[in-house]
Amino acid sequence: MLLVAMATASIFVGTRPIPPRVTLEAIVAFDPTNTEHLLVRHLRVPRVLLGIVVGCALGVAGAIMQALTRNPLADPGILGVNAGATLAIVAAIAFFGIVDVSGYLWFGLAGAALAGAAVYSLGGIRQGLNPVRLVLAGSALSVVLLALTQIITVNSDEQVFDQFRHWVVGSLQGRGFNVLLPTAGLAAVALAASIALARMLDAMALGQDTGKALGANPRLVWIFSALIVIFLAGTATAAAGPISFVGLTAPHVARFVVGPDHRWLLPFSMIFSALMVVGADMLGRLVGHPGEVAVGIMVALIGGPFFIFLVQRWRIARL
Amino acid sequence: MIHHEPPDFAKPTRLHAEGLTLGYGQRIICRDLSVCIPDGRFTAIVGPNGCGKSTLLRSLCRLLPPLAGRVCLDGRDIHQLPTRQLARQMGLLPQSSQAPSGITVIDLVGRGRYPHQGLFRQWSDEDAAAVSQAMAATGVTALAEQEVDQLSGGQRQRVWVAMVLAQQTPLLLLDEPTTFLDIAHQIDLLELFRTLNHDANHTLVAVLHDLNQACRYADYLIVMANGSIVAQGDPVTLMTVELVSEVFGLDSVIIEDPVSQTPLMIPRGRCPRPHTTSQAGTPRTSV
Repeated sequence: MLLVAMATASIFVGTRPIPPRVTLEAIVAFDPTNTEHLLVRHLRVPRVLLGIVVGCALGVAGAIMQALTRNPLADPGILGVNAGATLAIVAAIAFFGIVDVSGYLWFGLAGAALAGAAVYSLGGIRQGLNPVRLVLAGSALSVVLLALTQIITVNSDEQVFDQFRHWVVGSLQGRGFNVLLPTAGLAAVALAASIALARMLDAMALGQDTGKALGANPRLVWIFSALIVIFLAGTATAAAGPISFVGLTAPHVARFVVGPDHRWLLPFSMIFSALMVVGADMLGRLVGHPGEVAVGIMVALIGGPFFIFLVQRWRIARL
Repeated sequence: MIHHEPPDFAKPTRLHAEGLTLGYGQRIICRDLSVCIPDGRFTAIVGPNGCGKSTLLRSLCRLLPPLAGRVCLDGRDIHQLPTRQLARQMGLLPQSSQAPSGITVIDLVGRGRYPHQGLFRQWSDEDAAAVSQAMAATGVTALAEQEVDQLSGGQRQRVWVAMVLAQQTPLLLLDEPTTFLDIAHQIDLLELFRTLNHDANHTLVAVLHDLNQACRYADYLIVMANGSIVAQGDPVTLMTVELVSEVFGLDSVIIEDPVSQTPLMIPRGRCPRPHTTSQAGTPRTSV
């Protein structure tokens, strides 16, 4: 409900003042010759929808990572997925001259998948299951990938740097249906799969021994979860740039509201994190008027203090 | 107390192990163990610290794959059984479990239903019935909506037992279920296990620390020392001064427990003999 209200409000807010009546008309009685209608239809609507998709993806990925690693500070980036996507996209911009978001979306995904696979083999999945080793491998790989990213950006010409600068802060600006559709498609598949994962995560949350005794297969849960996280975080990062903090915070808010049952926790993480992304994006346009503040920056600006408030006011769940 | 018929080892029991060698990596803990867990009995595995009690229990429920030998359930190697099928036959209360913070008692007990649910078969009346039955049996029904974090140690352990009961398995394996509980809660829990065994005909296997409690509540003992099985059988015939001295290195007197008429071991002190097998921490590889 709140999400629908927020999304609707967000469609009416923009850098260019368009009267609410015209916005409404653009949705119910679209006139392709009207520039304002075009603006609403082709920029604002897909932007809000993309915000929802990216938010859902990050929220669920964060909740899964926290459950798997039993680490309340885990976020989707912990497996090196975001760093992989970032490096691939920088490479796409610098070496292949790709400037279109829908063009480097696929690079981002490939980078995320490669990084995820690398972390898995470095973490030694075959020698048995050790979440700590995987997380360490993820952090180490992230550092290396980040360094490579910086080498490329520092050595690239100004135009490439400029393009990258705008992508790296995390933004929903200027993404049309050509970005929204593939993103939404990929995310929908992974989100559906994550719902099937919920009960396995519940069993595993009781500890490895109990989880196994209940008939859950820890290795299967890990592989399945990691695939989902790579898909979700990779897609979201490729589409909107690295938006941090949502994947960390939203699951905590959801856990506070619905408790530790993943059958509820995953859907609620989706909703809260979509709310945060769309809300932050809208505020970014209001605050930065007549320009705008990128959603990645807004999320951190609002999310940070909010999270501190949350930690102080209520106990944060142990995992 | 009621005594069952002595176990008939001519026909193999549902759960048995043959020639088990157990260990972690290069470190061998137990060599060539063979046990039959008598059906419908309360079996206690006892022995000094580090003798391999928990290791044996973990291998019986597939948490530890044997380096040699095999564990069979109904004649089939448990490592060949589908995970869920095994989880519908055998429940485990591990030494330590983690309750997710904020989880309520009824939700935690409900998680015991996992092996009975499928991807498309969600929560059913049968699940609800199993959960309320398990909570009633363990006396935690009144706590249903409370958070597990807020319970006392004794209550929490009962909730975990309820979780395992909700799994509705004919076999229950308990790894040191009474550790960290005060004496009253230990007795509560052991009484509960005996009731489960007598009334619901569960086959129970528990690793227990207290020899006297084991004699009092279990009707079959597996006595281990240095990674091998020293003796197994009915406590009354098994418990002798010689066995206690051999296994624990204790000089003792064994009298009849005036309450339960089971053997009661009263230690005098360490055995004077230096070659006792129970020196804590000695590596055990010889059988």
